[in-house]
Amino acid sequence: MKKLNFKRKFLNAACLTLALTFAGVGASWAGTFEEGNAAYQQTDFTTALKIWKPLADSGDARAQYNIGVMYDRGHGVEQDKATAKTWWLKAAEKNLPMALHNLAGGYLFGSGDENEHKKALEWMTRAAELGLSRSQYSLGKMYLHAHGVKMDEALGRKWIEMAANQGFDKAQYNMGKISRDGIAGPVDKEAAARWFLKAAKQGYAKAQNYAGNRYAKGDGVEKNEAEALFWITLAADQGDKTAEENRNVLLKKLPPNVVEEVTGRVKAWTPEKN
Amino acid sequence: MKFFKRFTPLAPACLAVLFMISPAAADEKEAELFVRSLAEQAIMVLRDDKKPLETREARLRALLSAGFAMDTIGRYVVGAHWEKMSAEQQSEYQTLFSEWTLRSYSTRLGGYKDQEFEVLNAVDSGKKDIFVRTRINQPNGGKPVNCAWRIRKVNDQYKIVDIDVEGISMLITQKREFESLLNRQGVNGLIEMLKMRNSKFPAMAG
Repeated sequence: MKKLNFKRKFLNAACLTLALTFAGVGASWAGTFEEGNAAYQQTDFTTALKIWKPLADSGDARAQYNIGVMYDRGHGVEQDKATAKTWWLKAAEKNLPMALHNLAGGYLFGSGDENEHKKALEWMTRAAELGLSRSQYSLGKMYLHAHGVKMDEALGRKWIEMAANQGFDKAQYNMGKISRDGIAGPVDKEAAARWFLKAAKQGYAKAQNYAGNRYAKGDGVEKNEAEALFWITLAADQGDKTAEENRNVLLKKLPPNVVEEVTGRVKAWTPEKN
Repeated sequence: MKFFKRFTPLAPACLAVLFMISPAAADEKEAELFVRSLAEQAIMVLRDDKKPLETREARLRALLSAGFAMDTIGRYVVGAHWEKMSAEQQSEYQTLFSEWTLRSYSTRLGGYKDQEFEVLNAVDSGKKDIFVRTRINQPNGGKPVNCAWRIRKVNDQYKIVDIDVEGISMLITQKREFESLLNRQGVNGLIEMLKMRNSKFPAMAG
C-alpha cells in the first residue's frame, strides 16, 4: 500500500511538472537578449516580448528597459505609459542610464506635482552622473530654466559643458549661447563661435545658422561671407526659416562665382559623426 | 507582410472616370487617393525589414512630414498662446512639435506588420475638410481599429490635419494636454517638455 502511494505521488508530481512545462511554452521562450533584439528589429514584437519577459523577470535591466519601451510605444502590446514606467523603474533601480533618463522626462512634465519634480531631478542627476550626455544636457537645461528645481546658472552651465565636451550637438549649441551671453562666466565671443561651429559640423540646423551669422558679421571669427553663406545654406536646406531669410540677403550681396563655389561645397558636405 | 495589402494602384482610366463625376465627389475621391497613396508608400518602407527598425521609423517620419499640415496642426493645438509667443519661440515650438508628432506616429506605425489597412469611404466635413474613413484589421481576429483622416487642401496640396482613432481626435486630445501645461508652466515649459519628449531613448540593442 505504501508502495502504491509512493507511485501515485510520483505520477502526480510528474504530471504536474509536465503540465507546468507545457503551460510555460505559450508564455515565454528561452532565448538570449540579442535574440530578442533580432526579433524586435524584424518587428516581431510578440517573439521579442516572449524572449525578454523571462529575462526581465529574472532581473536583466536591459530587458526590463526594452519592455518599458514596448509599452511606451505600443509595440506588440496596448500602449500603456503606466506599465512602461513600472518596467523602467525596475531597470532604474539597477542604474540603467537610459531608463533613468526616460523616467525623469516623464515625471518632469507629468502632473506638475512637486514630488514628481523631485524624483525627476534625482533620476536625471543619476543618469548624468553615470555619464549619459543627453541627460547631462537635460539636467543643465533644468537648472538654467528652473524646471523641477531652483534656478542655478553655474550648475546649468557645468552640466551642459560636460555634455558638449562629450560631443552632444545640442549642448554645444547651448554652450555657444551661454558663452555669447556670459551665463555663469564671462562673455566670450570666440568661444561662442567655436561651440556653434562644432554643433554646425554635426548638422544641427540652428547652430549652422548661428555659425553662419558669426561669419557674416565677423563676430568671434574673421569675417567671411562665403563661409557665412555655406553654413546658412545648410541650415536653410533643413527648413530653418530664419536661415532662409539670411540666405536671401547674402545671395543678393555675393558675386555669382562665389555663390556657385559655395553651392558645390554644400552639395558635397556631409555631417561629422559624433 | 500583409499591411495595407488591399491597395492596388488605380489605372489611369479609373481616375478619369472618378474626376468626371462631380466637383465635390471628385474632391472626396482625390482625398481618398491621397490617403491610399501615402499608405502605399508607407508599405514600401515597412516592408523593408532588413533595415533596423530605427532607420525604417526615420524614413516613415520623412514620409509623414510631407503628408501632414504640421504648421496648421501646431498652431491649432496651442490656441491663443500662439499670438503670445515671440517669433523665435514660434519657430522653435513648430520645429519641436513637428519632430515630436512625427516621431510619435512613426514609432506607432513602425510597429505594424500583419495588419490590413482598408479605405472605407470619404465624406465632406465642413467647408474645408474631407474625412477619409479607414479601418485597420488586426491579425488573428483582433478587434479592428477605425481610423478617420481629416484632409485639407493647403497650398493646393492635400494634407492631413487630424487623425481620429475610434472617435478620439488627436488634435483635441493634444490641445487639452498642452493647455493644461501652458497654464502651469507657460510657453517655455511647453518647449522644454517637447525637447524632453524628443530626447527619449529607444530600445537598446545590447
